[in-house]
Order: sequence, then C-alpha cells, then structure tokens
Amino acid sequence: MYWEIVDIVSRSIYVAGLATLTASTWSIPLGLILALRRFRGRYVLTSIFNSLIGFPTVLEGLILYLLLTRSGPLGWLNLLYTVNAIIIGQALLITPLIISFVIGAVESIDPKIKDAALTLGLSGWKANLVVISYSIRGIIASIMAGFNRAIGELGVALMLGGDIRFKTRVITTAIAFETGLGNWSFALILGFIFLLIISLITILTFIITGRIIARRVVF
Amino acid sequence: MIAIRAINLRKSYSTSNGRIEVIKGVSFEVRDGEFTVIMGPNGAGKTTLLRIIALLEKPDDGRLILFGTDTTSSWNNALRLRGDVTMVFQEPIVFNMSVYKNIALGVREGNVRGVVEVLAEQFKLKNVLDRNALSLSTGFRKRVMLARALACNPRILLLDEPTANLDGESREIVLRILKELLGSKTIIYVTHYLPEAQMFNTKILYMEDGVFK
Repeated sequence: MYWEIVDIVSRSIYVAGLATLTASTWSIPLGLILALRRFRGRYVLTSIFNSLIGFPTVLEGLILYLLLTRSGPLGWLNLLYTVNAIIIGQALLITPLIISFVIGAVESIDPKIKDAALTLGLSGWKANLVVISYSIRGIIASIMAGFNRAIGELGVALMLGGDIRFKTRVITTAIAFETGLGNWSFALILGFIFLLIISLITILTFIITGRIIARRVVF
Repeated sequence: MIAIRAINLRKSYSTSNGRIEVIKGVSFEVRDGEFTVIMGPNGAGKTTLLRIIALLEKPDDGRLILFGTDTTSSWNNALRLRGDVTMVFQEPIVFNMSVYKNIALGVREGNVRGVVEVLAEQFKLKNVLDRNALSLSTGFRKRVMLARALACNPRILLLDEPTANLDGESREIVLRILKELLGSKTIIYVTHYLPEAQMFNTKILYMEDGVFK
C-alpha cells in the first residue's frame, strides 16, 4: 500500500506539474498580450477565456477521448490511456484559468505606472516590463491556481488516463476508484495527502516568490 | 521657437452617462523655455490636456505640434518625442525599486551615476538613495518623481500639481528647483493655488469646462 501511495502521489505531481508548465508557456504570454495590448476583439477573447474556466472537465475529457481514440482523427498518436494524454488534457483545461488570472493580475496594476514609464522615454515593451514586474505575484498565483486545478480534476484524468494501476492512476481517480470499492480509509488517506501536497506546494511557492520579489531580480 | 502649438484640441470619453467632452477646442502656444501656469477648478480638463501634450492620449480632433513636429498627423513621429516631453503626475508614482534606480531609469545619456548624484543632491535625496522608493513619504516620493523627470533632460516638463499634499520642506525644495529652471526648460505647471502661480511671475492661463477663459 505504501509504494502504491508513493506511485500515485508522485505521478499526480508529475502530471499536474508538467501540464501546468506546458499550459504556462502559452497562457502567460497570451494573458499578457490580452492585458497589455489594445486591439479589436480583445474584450470578446477575454470574455471567452473567462467563460471557459467553467468548462466541464468530463465534457473536455469526452471530446479529447473522441479525438484520441484509435478510430479518431488523432488515434495514430497512440496517446489514449497514457500519462501524456492526461498532461495534454489538463494543460488545455487550465489554459483559460491561467490566462484569465494573468489578465486580472496585470490589469489590477495602476495604469499610471505604465504612463510614468512611457513619459520617461522608455519603449513600449520596457514600460510593459515595469507593469509585469508589479504583477509577478499575481502571475505566480495564476500558475499555482492552474496547478491546483490540474491536480484536483477528475474528468480528464479518468477519461484519457483510464485509471490504470501503476500506469495512469492519479490521486483523484484513485480516490474515486477506492470509494467505489468501499475502501473508505484508503480513499481518505489519499484525500489528506492531496490536501497536504496542495498546501505545501502553494506555501513554498509563495515563500520563494516573496524572496524573488524582495531581491528585485525582475527589473 | 514655438515648443507647443495646440490648435483646436478636442477630447471626449465614453462614460455610463454617455460621451463627455473634456477638452472643447483648446488652442494655445508656448515658446521654447517659457514657463506657463494653468489654473482652474477640478474637472476643468487640465490633467487631460497635460496627458495629450505628454503623448499619453490622442486628441479626438485638432492638431498638436511639438517643436515643429505634428504629433497628430503621425503617431509614430509623436512616439519619438516621448522622453522629450515628460510629465510629473499629481499622484506620487514611483517604481518599486530603489530611489537610485528610479532616478537612473530616466537617464537617457551621459554618466548615469553622475546625473543621479547631482539630482539627489539638489532634491536632498542622498540619504535615501538605497531605500525602496515605495517606502518613502509622499513628499519624498514627489521629489523622486521630479528628479526622475529631470534625469531624462526633457525639453518640455509637464507638472500636474507637483506641490499638492507636500510637507513644507519638500514644497520649498520643489519650488526652489522650479525657479532655477525658469527660462531653461519649457514648463507647463498646473496648480490650484494662485499665490503659487504668481510666484513664477509668468503667463497664467485659466481653464474651465474644457476651454481657456
């Protein structure tokens, strides 16, 4: 049981971590563009991402399942019921969440900060960098929210991973499975470990972020 | 030489109560090196006018010519003038970094350390150069803002109520330095206080409801 818990927990962190890292590579730049640039359709795009936060994970799992299944258009990739499929699904799931949080973090900064930078003759991108340096804590919080959402979701992991023991089983699918079998104690242990992981990672991230901000390495 | 030529500038904003015209056809000229004071009640459009001259906002209509460059016909030309036109805001906006870095950020040419040290001496900021500007009082922050604005050696300096909410010492320093600048820089100074406006013994424009009266 001990090794099984280690296996499940480590896989959960690996899958959610990689999904968060992957999603961040496109979500943060996209969020920054939407927050800092003024162009036609900006509000529509922002609203779409805001509404997609509530997209049902099971529905997303189903759509991706139909795409990745052997007879589906992406079936040749042989991704279904693999860890990589869960990573892709979770990355897509948390994309709108990270984008919206990044927009919120940047837009909460007083616009006069950017104006002040511009009037000093700083180029547009340098003035934006000043604004971003103020938003770092919010951007880190958006990444953490993405990670917590990814590690805590069930639909995608279940439908794309299949909850295969020692292969694709993660904490949430394991809790659901063990509850179905009536193994309440095992399910509860996993639940407590899950909460502990989320709390520890969040606290550690904010401590590290605080130190980074204190050293002013951003600008 | 004419530093600022504004011809029939107009600016309006959308609000929940419909469109509100803030600047209603403002025309004026300021010669190079001239010190101009703009007075007027709250909501008269003074800050909006400064923001247009600072190239932070485009006017809806009219022309703004800075040192012979028509900023309204080509926004790219206008952007090249940023830094030549610097604005000191009413609120004490300083960046989340040391006072030294705040001032250094404005330096565009020459020896950065040298420029910062001279300005720090002038504004009595030497003792706080290593402190985070955000940890300072409003008076100190405003001094940092003005020092930072002067660090980029602008041709036009726009000051939006620079002495508002200042303690005696900071007010004295700011006014002394502005007096020293008389004649050497084109300055537009917005204030509510008539005695302060008269102190500079210069042209005073009165703005109300989006126009000069």
